[in-house]
Amino acid sequence: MISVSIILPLLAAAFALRSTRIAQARNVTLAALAATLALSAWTLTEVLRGTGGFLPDSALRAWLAADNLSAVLMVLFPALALVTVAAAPQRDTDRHFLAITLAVVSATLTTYAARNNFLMLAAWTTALLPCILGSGRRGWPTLSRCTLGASCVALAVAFAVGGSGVGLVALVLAAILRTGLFPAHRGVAATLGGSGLLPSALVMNSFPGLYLLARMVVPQLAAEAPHLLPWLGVLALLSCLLMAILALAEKTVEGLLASVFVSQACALFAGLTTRTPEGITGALLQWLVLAICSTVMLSVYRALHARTDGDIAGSGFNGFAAAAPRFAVLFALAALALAGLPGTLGFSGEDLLMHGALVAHGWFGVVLPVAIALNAWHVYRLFAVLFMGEPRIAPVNLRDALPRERLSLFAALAILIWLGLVPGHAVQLRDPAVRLILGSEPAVTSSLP
Amino acid sequence: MTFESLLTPQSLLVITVFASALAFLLLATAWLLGWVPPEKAVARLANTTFSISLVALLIMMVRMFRTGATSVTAGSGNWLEVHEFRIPIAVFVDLLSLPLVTLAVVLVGTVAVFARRYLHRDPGFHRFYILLHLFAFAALLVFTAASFDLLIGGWELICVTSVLLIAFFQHRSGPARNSIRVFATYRACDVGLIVGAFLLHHATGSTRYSEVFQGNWPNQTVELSGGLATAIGCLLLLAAMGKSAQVPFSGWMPRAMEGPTPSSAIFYGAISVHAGAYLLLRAQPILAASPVASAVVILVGLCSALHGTLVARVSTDAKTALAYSSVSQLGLILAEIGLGLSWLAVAHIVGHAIVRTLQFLKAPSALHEHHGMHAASGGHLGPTGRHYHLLLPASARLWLYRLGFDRGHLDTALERGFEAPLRRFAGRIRTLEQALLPAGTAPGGSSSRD
Repeated sequence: MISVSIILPLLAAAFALRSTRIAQARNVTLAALAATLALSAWTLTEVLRGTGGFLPDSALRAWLAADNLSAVLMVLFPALALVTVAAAPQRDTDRHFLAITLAVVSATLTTYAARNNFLMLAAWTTALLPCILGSGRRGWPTLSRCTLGASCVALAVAFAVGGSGVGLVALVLAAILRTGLFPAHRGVAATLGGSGLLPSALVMNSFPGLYLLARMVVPQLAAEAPHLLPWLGVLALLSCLLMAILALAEKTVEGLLASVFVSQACALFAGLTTRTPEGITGALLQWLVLAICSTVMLSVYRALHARTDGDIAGSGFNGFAAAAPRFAVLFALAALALAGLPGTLGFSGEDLLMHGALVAHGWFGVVLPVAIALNAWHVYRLFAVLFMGEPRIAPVNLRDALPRERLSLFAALAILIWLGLVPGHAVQLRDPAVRLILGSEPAVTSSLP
Repeated sequence: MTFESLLTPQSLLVITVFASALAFLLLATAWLLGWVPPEKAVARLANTTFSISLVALLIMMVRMFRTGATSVTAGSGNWLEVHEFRIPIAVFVDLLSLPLVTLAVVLVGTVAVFARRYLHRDPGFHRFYILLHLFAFAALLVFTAASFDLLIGGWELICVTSVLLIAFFQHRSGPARNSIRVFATYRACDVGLIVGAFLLHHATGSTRYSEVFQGNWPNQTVELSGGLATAIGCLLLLAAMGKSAQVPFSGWMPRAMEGPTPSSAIFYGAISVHAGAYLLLRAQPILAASPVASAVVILVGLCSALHGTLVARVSTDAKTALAYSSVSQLGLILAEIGLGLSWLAVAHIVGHAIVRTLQFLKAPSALHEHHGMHAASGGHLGPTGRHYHLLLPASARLWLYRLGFDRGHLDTALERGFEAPLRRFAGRIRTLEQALLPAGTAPGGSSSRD
């Protein structure tokens, strides 16, 4: 089933590229993503039902498998892609967008399910290829290409050399470059720009850097150089704060969104390196929150961008709430969930994440609440910039959310609200993954007085 | 479930707290489904909700009085549990929270009735009531939370509803800009509450009041070392300073007056601003364990009282004058808490909230009232503030006037001392990054248009 869920999007991508009717290609894409989601959900059910929590693929046992850490992400990612395609404005929905989305889904699922290093490296690289090789408006800035291309090289070196010396350093470097910790922060943040925004957002939302960290880096470092983990956490905390501060100098909506998302990803990185159940659980919960919220926020932004032909002011106010109140509510819910709004999963996730950081890093962990508070302010500022103030465009010329946009985006947020009201379900779901990351190592005890 | 089981104090407490949450969900879901109920229906729902809350509260109080109980706890178990971290799902009332819960239900209900006419035919009528119900739930959650962790949930909901109501007239840029500023102050100060709650958890193994404190309020004690008590006390004070607009964070108060008058009354006259004082009253055993923290609370309170009265006297509009009068009174309340005068502080909160709500609700007709009083006194309304003329020389009065007129220079100081350097730092790093990157690789500078 895992192999089918990987191959299906690839077949659909080939069909989308050859299709002459865009509506047909879009329907096939949606159907393929829905089928992939159903297959991934079935895989997750089997993993949860199985006693060992490990499910090899029936056809490619030596190559593909799922466990709790990967199975949840294998459900999340096709779901995000489905929401993205369903809510994407018609202007963006061309054959290339659909094919890239499907290829990224296939490659990302392979990254999560890969049982050997070669396959993982191939999938890791393939997921980046459309945007690295893309030219013109679909391509990334050179800095992004260099940063993310370097992550592929680092991963290749890590797998080629292996062991605990250079190999481990290269592995850590690959995770840093792909997540956007200092000094790779600018390169990763720059990926979110231009009309390739939606596919780029999907590529970023797969968080393979964090997956690599959870799957390989933390267990290996904990076994071979445990004293280095706190330093990696410190780097992540400082990167989180740095991006939150740098967001103050951003003049565009994309720039501000990218800074906040990279800053939050750094917070997840810090959470995963805490080696505390609270920190790791918080990071895994907040991972879901960040992926869903960023998808919703970028989809809303892209829809407004399409409706206004890009006439959106990065500073000053746009006043879209007058014409698009439902978009305003969807954006506000996503933004506030990302900021830790009580009643959403963001509240539990951030609470646990901050708790873990304070336990692991003592007083230095205060950096995380400060950075998260700054990010919360940024997302509220962004909401105000987009939706408040005097309308720049006459309300009659701007359409509010269409039923397909409303349904898909609200369905994504409903999951966050449901899990936020009963966070015990989410904690229970991620508990085996937490134990997997923690391994047999004892939890860190607080260094506070 | 029988009718009798609904009348247990525990069930009544749950009804009191969650009735407004249910009304919020009803109104919000209806709106999301595309149905906007008529004003009459919305107002009736609000009246019914707050009436149910009040009746349930009164019956619970009668039952408590009959049995001689000083507290009621509803709910058990944990809402969230990971390793040693737990957020208990329990609400409770004791002698401290009971007056504040009553105050919240009565005053929010009063404002709901007032707003029906005040906001009649306003495009945001429905939105106001959605946010009012959410605020009522948040405030009741703060006052009835059985742990600091659950209190944080209500505390943050108050922050969100507050800024969304400040930006109620969203088509104007002024309210939007001010709501951003208020949100910044709230979030900056909330860091104190989060870190304070963490330290408390670290020191005592829990944030549940019954496990952190020994005894019943107001005779509670806590087992904390002096240094830790000082740290936790100061962090909680930071959170309270943000919520209760104490010096140097009082600058958000006049900005918050951009919202409609009913929300100004309930947030900045009655309930929201007193949440900070409630937090310190709840944490009073911690303050009592640290003379340093108590002294800081008194100092901040007295400075705020002085600052508030100076600024209120030179304010040229009614709502700003009322806002700074609130800052002044809240400063005195904090000083009372620092001195350990708990009951006096509770009485002061109740009295102040009621009077201030009345004043805010009457603010739109203040000029009319003043003319009425002026006529009634035969045109001989005496000026206030004569003691300043008696006690101070003209130069000192002028200096104080300037100080008050610029609101103690606090906004300027925060902007120049904190905000501007942070922005400069961000800008310089950005410039440095662009200078260090090879030409042609640097991103940025792209506009929103593709």
